[in-house]
Amino acid sequence: MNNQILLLKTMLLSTSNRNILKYCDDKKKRGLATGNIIGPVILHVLIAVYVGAMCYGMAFFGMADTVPAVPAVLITAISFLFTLLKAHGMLFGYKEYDMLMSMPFTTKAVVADRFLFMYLKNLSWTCVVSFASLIAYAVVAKPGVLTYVLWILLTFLLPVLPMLLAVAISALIGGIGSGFRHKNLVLTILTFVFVIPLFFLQYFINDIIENDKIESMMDQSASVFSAVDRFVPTIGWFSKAVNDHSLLSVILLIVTAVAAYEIVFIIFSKFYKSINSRMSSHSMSHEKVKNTDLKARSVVKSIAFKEFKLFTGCVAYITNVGMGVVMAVIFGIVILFVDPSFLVSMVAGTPVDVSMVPIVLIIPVFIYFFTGMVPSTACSMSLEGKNFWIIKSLPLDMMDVFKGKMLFNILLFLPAALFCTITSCISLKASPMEFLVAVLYTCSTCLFSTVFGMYCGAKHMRLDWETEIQVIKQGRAVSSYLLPNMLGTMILGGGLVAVGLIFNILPLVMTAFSAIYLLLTIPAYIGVKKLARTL
Amino acid sequence: MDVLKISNYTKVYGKDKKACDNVTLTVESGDIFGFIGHNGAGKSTTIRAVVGVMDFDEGTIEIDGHDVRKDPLSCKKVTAYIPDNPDIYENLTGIQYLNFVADAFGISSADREQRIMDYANRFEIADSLKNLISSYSHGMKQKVAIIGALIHNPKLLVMDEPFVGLDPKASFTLKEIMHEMCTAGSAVFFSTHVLDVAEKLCNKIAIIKKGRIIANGTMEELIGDKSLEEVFLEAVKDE
Repeated sequence: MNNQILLLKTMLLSTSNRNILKYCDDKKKRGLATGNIIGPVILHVLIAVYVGAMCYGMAFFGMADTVPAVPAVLITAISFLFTLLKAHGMLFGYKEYDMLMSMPFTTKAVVADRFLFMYLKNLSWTCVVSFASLIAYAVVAKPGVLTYVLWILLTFLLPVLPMLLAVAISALIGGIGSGFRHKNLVLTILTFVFVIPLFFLQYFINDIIENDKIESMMDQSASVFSAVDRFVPTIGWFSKAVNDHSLLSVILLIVTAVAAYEIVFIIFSKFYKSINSRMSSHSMSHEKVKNTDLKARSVVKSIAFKEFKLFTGCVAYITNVGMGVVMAVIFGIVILFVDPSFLVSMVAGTPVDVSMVPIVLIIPVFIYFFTGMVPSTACSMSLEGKNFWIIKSLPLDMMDVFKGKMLFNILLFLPAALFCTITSCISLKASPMEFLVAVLYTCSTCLFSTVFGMYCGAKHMRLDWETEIQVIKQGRAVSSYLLPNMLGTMILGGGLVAVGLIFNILPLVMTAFSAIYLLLTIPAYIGVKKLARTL
Repeated sequence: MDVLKISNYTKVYGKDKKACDNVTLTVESGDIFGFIGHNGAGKSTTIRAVVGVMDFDEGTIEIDGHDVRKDPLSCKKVTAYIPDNPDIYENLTGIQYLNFVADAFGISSADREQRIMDYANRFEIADSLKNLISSYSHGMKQKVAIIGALIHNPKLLVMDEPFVGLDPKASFTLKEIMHEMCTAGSAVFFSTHVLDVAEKLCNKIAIIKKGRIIANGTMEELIGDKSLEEVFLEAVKDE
């Protein structure tokens, strides 16, 4: 068997739920494995419906030619961003590195295996987005057979280039960061430097649209996608291949993907071992133990401090969970110096005139999307991994452990969220009442996300992971927290804010919204206490 | 015949911290070579460089005449490595993992079946091979890693603290296998803190201290009338 296929097959087998369902008798593990299959299936259906509806709408309103760009843009953006966030954990410092590198595989085969694994894991989302768009497009445009064939075949190539670019950037970050004494700090900063600008991409797209003087909402959506394909050639090639059956575009897409794959892995494999060697080096500190190192703390504070060390010691943890904190702080600083209408429009993705809308009370909802979507509590129990025995063997009340982890999350997110809220209030000249309501909302959402995250994290704790990424980005604990929280906030928030705006009672509505979060915190906390008794 | 030849091997961490400094040693066919030293002396760093897992700065390492940097695949084909902590695919069953290793080394179906069952019976783990590795104890994982290492009849078996976590029967079996391999012309290079075992098992020893080899030779040459423990403690005593 080809070594590349062998490595990939084994990697897929070792991370799939199939083996657990087939060979494991533990009912809890089997239940988790079943959940790990059902959860993503539901998500796939939701995404298919959303993307399909969007594309159908565009095609129905006479913009069928723009529809192919929709999946192309979504797949490119999501593949690039998610790979950039995942690549470090997948490529460097994973558990089986020694085993694989000591076996007769070329370095290129080992590195490419990690990439292909990410590619295949990403492929289900890619197919759902692409094929849902195709169905919507086909219903309206009724294209020929060749369109179907090209659309389906080229879908598999669409994520290749953005993922390779993300891997190349991650390798560059790894190469630079591994040379420093404080590797994790440097790696984290470099990752943020590359990831954060992506969130501002919307601004550049909007800018293009404004220059084109496009007014209507649907036209604007169409223009977003056509504007992007000017910057990302693969999107344009996909659209031209599907719309015009352009052979040149098909060839360009294939050749570029294959050539980039070869180039990236030939170069990367030359430096891979040395980067990993430098990353695994553990140069000793020459400093002696300080008195402050031996400072006595309460159990809860000690656990919170341990969580801080875990957080700062794991690049995947700090980049994925800390991203919201950094974004909130940046937003909080920028809003002091930039026209609030411009900034809010950029974050909202649509033009907003802050003088027309009481935006100061809506901004905390945006801030919550920065600071409340992945709390540290949702993944911290799973991240204990093989070290969970330390907590279990110490004479600790599990509730104290949970409290310590919740304390850390509050200390991490609340200052950033409050800072952002306060600067927004200053910038938007909020009244004292608006200020109080905004602060109340921020505090209540932070409390809720901390406690609900802890509940999900403890309930769906998974200790037998291969890389931290499996817990942080693909873990059931995080997704069981994220989905209801995100959808709930969007639906409930959207509804309540609309009611508040229509009846001009937004302060009252936002206070009620805060109260709902506080009320929801109570059962979550009771759940956490129950779990503490069972763990 | 030299199976492993390390010449002037140097590994630097950071800018100037030499984890291994000018290490030179040779393991010949039929040798059971013990590599001993304190924690942090440079044993694992040397071993990881030998098996091609870690890059190094100076010197050369040759396995069966092949340079590990210039021709890593040829080296890896004749080498087996058992790390101190067997991090193997947890969600595979034991037999799936062993089959993967056999595929990687291109072992025929008949050979792999015979060797896997032979070693599995000797380590008394045959019945557990159908279970997930995640359900194994440390010792069982170690046994599976050992069987995986032996599947392709390596010329050089490199082990980092191989006896940690093994039960007495499995330790005995492993020692038996090490002897059998050396009788058949292979060589074993392993690190250990268990000096009694090293004294009884090895025909050659190297002692490493702060990254430098401070003693290297046959067991008789090094210990004479003393015990290995006495020689080791004398050698590593700070000046």
